[in-house]
Amino acid sequence: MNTPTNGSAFSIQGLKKRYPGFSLGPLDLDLQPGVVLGLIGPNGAGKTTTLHCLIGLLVPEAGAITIFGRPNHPDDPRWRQDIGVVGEESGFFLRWTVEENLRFVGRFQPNWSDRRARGMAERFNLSMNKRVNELSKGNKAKLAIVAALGHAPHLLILDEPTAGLDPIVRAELLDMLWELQEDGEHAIFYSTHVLSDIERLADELVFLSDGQVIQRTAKDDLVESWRRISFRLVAAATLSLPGVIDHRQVRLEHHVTSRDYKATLEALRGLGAEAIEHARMSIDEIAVEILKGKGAPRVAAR
Amino acid sequence: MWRLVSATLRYRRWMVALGWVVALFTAFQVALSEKDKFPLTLGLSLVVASASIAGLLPYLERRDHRSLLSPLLAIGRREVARARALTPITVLVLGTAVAVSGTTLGFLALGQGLDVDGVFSPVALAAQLAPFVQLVLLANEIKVAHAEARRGDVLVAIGAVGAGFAIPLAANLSGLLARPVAASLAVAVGASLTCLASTLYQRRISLVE
Repeated sequence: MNTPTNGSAFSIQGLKKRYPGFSLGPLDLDLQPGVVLGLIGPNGAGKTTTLHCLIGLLVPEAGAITIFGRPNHPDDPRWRQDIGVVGEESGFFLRWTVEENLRFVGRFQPNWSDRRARGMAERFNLSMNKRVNELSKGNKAKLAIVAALGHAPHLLILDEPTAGLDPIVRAELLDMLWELQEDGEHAIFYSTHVLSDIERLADELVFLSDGQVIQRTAKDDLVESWRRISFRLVAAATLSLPGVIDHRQVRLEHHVTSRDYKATLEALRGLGAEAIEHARMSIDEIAVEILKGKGAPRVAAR
Repeated sequence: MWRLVSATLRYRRWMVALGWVVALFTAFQVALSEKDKFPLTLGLSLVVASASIAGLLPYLERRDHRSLLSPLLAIGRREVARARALTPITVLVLGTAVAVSGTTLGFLALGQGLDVDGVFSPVALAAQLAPFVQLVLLANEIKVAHAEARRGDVLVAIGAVGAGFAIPLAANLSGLLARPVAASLAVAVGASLTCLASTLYQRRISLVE
């Protein structure tokens, strides 16, 4: 097993990357061991660019990246021993079997365990003797996960791993990741725009839009603090309520979305509002509000 | 580095073998009309087949998005770059070794005795083809450098490739150089272009392809 050498699973500082018509950063982000961090954003937000910089597929214009304290220098392969990477495309040898591909990857990872890889493949119902070009998309994703975990890395980096998978395979993959993070040793950095994927897994969420982090928060805090509130209020032509980001009114009935429902409720009681009701929001609904730019002022990630 | 080269060769072995079978078939076709030419034709066909496959390999690897496999491997970019550049040359060297063996066996089988010039003809041809097998790889690296706005790299690479092909061509056409010297010059150019391909890959901004 690898031994993490530093506090953070990864640390990104001042990362900048520019393309024609798109600019990422400056981005600061870190991840502690044992934490599952979901990177959320619409297509083109910069999620894959961030991940590609992290795993050394892209050279940024500026910024420093470390993995368990080691800089992700392109010529120093040691930091790669601490990570497992699952992308949408993996570059496997298509005419080789699953076993041949895993053996190939294993030759380049000092901590590789054939037994571990076989065990995972078995658990996934992934035939070792099938050629990669005969595998379904779901089974290719399973192979990518087994190949990424065969050397027991402490940091798993996932870029849209469930894209295009049917619900059953998706659930299997998520179960596997759930088991993996239960031991509290693995850090997982999970990029997706399918929020239901990380609703169960993530401890923290980072929202990325137009190459900038717009919010980083604990998932439970987010779910706890965001509410839809309805109430009846006779007076008040103009209403200014703390935490409210959206307000609709039909005669005396008001419907608001609040990112700090406790503060909003307190203010409403002070105003003498009646028939106050509030309901939790799903992560999907919250994310939409945040990514629409309503959720929070722009802040740097911690 | 050699682990990567050998893996690629193992993966493409059937394609290489098929190329060699086609070369053998070509030599047999020639032998039907002129039996004496069989050994030399076999040797030269094997070299041409190997050089063709060697030139094609980088394209096939790129088509399979092989570079996306590198994040899974605890291996540095320099090693990957060297392996990519050396793989085509390795195929050519292997093909040349097979060609020399085939030519030698052909001479012996026909009872012609060993014709040293004939036996080494495949080596001379392989030397001349060495710069060409890097063309596909270099063309792609120049394309990537252009896309990444690495203008200095593009200019240096185009200049080096141009000079790399012009110098041996001029030497051959002028007839001033003896055959072994011309072959050595071509090998030196091939080696330089291999280093250039490796360096250009290491200087890339993006490895995603």
